Amino acid sequence: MTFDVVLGFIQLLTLLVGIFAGFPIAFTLIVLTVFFGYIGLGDLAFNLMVYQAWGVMSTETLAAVPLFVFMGYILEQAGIMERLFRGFQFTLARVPGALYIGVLLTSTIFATATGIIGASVTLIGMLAAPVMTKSNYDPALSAGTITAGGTLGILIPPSVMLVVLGPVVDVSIPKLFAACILPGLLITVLFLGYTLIRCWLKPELGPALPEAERPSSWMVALRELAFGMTPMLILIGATLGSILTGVATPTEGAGMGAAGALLLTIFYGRFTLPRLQTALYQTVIVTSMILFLLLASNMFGAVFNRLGTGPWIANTLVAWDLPPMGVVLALMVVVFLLGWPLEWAPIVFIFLPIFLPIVQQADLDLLWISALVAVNLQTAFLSPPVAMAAYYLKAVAPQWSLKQIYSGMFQFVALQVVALLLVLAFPEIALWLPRVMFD
Amino acid sequence: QEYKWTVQTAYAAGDDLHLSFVKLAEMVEEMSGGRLVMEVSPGGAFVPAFDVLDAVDDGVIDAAGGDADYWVGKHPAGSLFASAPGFGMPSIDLMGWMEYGGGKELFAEYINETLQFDDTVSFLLSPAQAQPFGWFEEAVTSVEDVQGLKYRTPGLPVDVMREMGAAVVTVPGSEVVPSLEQGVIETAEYFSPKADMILGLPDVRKVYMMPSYLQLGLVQNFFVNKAKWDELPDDLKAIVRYGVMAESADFYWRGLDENSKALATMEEEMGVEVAETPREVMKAQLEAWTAVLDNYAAEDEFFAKVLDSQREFAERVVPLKARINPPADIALEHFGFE
Amino acid sequence: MTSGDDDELLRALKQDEDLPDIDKMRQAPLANIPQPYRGIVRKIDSFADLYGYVLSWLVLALVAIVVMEAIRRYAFNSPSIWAYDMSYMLYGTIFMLGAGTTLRFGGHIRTDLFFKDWSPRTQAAVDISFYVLLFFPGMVFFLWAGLEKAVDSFLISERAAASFWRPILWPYRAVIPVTALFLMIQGVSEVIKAFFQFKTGDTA
Ligand code: NA
Ligand code: NA
Repeated sequence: MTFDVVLGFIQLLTLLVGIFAGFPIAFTLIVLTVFFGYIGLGDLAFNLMVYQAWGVMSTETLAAVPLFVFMGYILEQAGIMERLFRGFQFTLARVPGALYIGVLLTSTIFATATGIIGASVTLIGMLAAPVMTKSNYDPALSAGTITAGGTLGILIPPSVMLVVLGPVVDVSIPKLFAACILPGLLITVLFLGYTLIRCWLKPELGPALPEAERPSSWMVALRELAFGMTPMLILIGATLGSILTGVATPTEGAGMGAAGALLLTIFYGRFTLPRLQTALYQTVIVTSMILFLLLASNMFGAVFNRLGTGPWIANTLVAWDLPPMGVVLALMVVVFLLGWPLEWAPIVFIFLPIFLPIVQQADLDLLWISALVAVNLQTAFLSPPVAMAAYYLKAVAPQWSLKQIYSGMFQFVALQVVALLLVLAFPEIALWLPRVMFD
Repeated sequence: QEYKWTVQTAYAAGDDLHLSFVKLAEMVEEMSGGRLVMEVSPGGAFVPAFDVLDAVDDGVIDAAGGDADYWVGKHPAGSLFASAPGFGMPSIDLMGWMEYGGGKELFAEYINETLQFDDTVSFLLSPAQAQPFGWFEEAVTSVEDVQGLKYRTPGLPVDVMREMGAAVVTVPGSEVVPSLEQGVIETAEYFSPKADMILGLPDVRKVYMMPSYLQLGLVQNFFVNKAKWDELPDDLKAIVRYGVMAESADFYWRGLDENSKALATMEEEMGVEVAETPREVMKAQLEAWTAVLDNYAAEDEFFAKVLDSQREFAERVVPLKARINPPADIALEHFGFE
Repeated sequence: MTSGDDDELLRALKQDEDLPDIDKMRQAPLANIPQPYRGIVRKIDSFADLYGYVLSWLVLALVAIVVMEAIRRYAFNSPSIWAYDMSYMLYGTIFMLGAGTTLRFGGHIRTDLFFKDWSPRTQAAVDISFYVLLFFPGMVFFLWAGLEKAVDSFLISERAAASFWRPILWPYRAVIPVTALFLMIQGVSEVIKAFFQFKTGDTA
């Protein structure tokens, strides 16, 4: 173990402490990168930062972030989404936790339109958080549902992570897409089941609508739902529809959603110039917060890897000479643990290539391994301290403390582990669909 | 003394192009008895794929792998050292121009002077086979079929396909397969049968068109930071130099083996239909290339100089090969290969 | 002590209940900051407001460009040569330069698990030490390294290579050092605010 490798470990430990000092997280990551990078690599650390910034700046697919955030702010200002959730709540008035169902179903549908976590968590957070707060829903469980639901986008295609992961592991991208659909839906079902059971056992977590506020009849409830659903269907049509029919790329689909939202506010007579100005301005702030955080965590991961710590961990594990299942388990544990301080990119680029040869030698199904890794990496977004989903939500739902968001997220991390174990025990969950589709 | 280099390529980990640098590292480590160890990481590990050359020059990484099609934004002559048709010389012949026709010196001039990366030592390696025309919904039967075709390709082939009348669409590399699947683009090309298969192209298109003059092979680059190079003793320098040559040959031979197997798998098990590109389309490709290259040459002295040097070599070599090599169709017919 | 623009904004607030939230956010009370520092803070903050305002309209431009491109390609089979480059350049410019505006509005998320329980004075002390010891040095180097890349790009007239448009790249590369510069400028305002928070022990 060289000095630089040790330095990388210290960098990780310092992050755990430093991030809680309360300075903005993005800048904490950047200054730690500068500090440890400079000790280990000299001036090169600064160049490395510029390369990482440039990398984020030239990723065209991330342009979906401002587009979806803008869509969210426009809808928020027009009160359109509130109406949808209210309709939903009216219809399921007697069911405790109706809003959890609403959030999770919306997240799953939204996941088929985008794979950019920053976009989905902020959008769903913006729309659902105020309603959940107003309905006296449990903050932790609400925040957990939104963050966990929002990260489904990276598992359910399309997803940039899967597109990057496929060629790294020698697996065809369409097959990998197919392999991740059932695990993604399995996770949705786990989430749904969990929130419903919790609410059934403890109704105050997601209180049903008080008797006085319930709709007078089914007709009223259905009408509310219809009115609420219409704009939503139009927007999903604009976003998802334009992507699935080949009209638009995912980025353009996000733009279609934003333009659609703008047209809806005009149609509903809710459009004013000051409102537009505010939505645009807030879009700049939230977009910048999201992407600066991404950039900072990429810088952090790049320096960590360049110091040699990442490769050292992987090589050490490979040298253990484990049996095939041991390799899989070791890989899963390492990816899970590294997901706490790091994001998916540094893990995919450094660890998988080192592990790949032994996984291939062990004659394990690479498609299955990739699906496992993908589920595991999705968890990285939910595991503090570098838990992007928490910070994205915090930016648009300031009423919830990070402590509440964390404690909600932990419950869903546990569900993710359950899903991971299920896919581990029953490889068919991942392998069945690709076989049916491509063989 | 032992030396350890951090190497990053511009490619994905499973890609043949990336694996060429992994092989090179293995050869060098073995030949040097472990005195020079290269740890090779894929594109994006430390810097974005497009920045590997810059990063070697800065010293952010010690060495890098890529190909000059990546540097056409810095200066368009890069394409001439990578996959431009080279007056009919496929990349293995282009390597001949580089060794014996002055190409190597021109490439060093390109990197060190034109692009001003003066802290970089460059090598050319690993000639690839000609790149297929791409994955189509329906086979192209005439030049007219190319008109308005939504085609995705990077670098100077963009100019060529536009010249031929295609509606060239720009989507990021990560979006190529999904975009084909949804139909945002109709047609795309990637690299080789094996690489195309890994990327999943046969899962979204079934008509695989070849051959093509659009990218007549590819020559890769290996870059070493000058300070790192200068500190090597002479014997290690020689090991790297000859390691590059050995891997160049092995890459080509490996390519014959792996790509033929991949093509068979795709045809026999994945329902892929290989369609032959009509001669008139290939003629049109060369016409379009010539127009594009002449355009750049008229604007840029260095570009013209490289082009002249290639022509001089090709004038001897292309006719030699045509005369000395018996035509392949006789062997195909005689042995009953199809 | 009172400056004219405070009154103006308050009057505007009364006139229009529907005033954008953003204008309400802009009126951070600076009463505990004496002149001339108050003037400096106000100037710096208005500067961040100003480029934030410009960037906000770029968001709308981005929407228009990507939607038009999809229509051009799908309905008219004639994709543009510039939409691809425009979309990532606009997006990158928005989030990079917007970082300063975001800092001005406290938009960069903090891990507030402990932070929020500390006294305003401790919070200010933490902020000041981070800014002075780590933030400014980090940004100086970021600026320097970013500037070098932009200059290199300018010297070889580097162009983007993905599309036929091939726009000149150095202005976009220059966004990195300008971002660092804007962040440092905004950092000065934040340090002054934190300093007087530390001095008076008062958040406002
Ligand atoms: Na998705
Ligand atoms: Na994490």
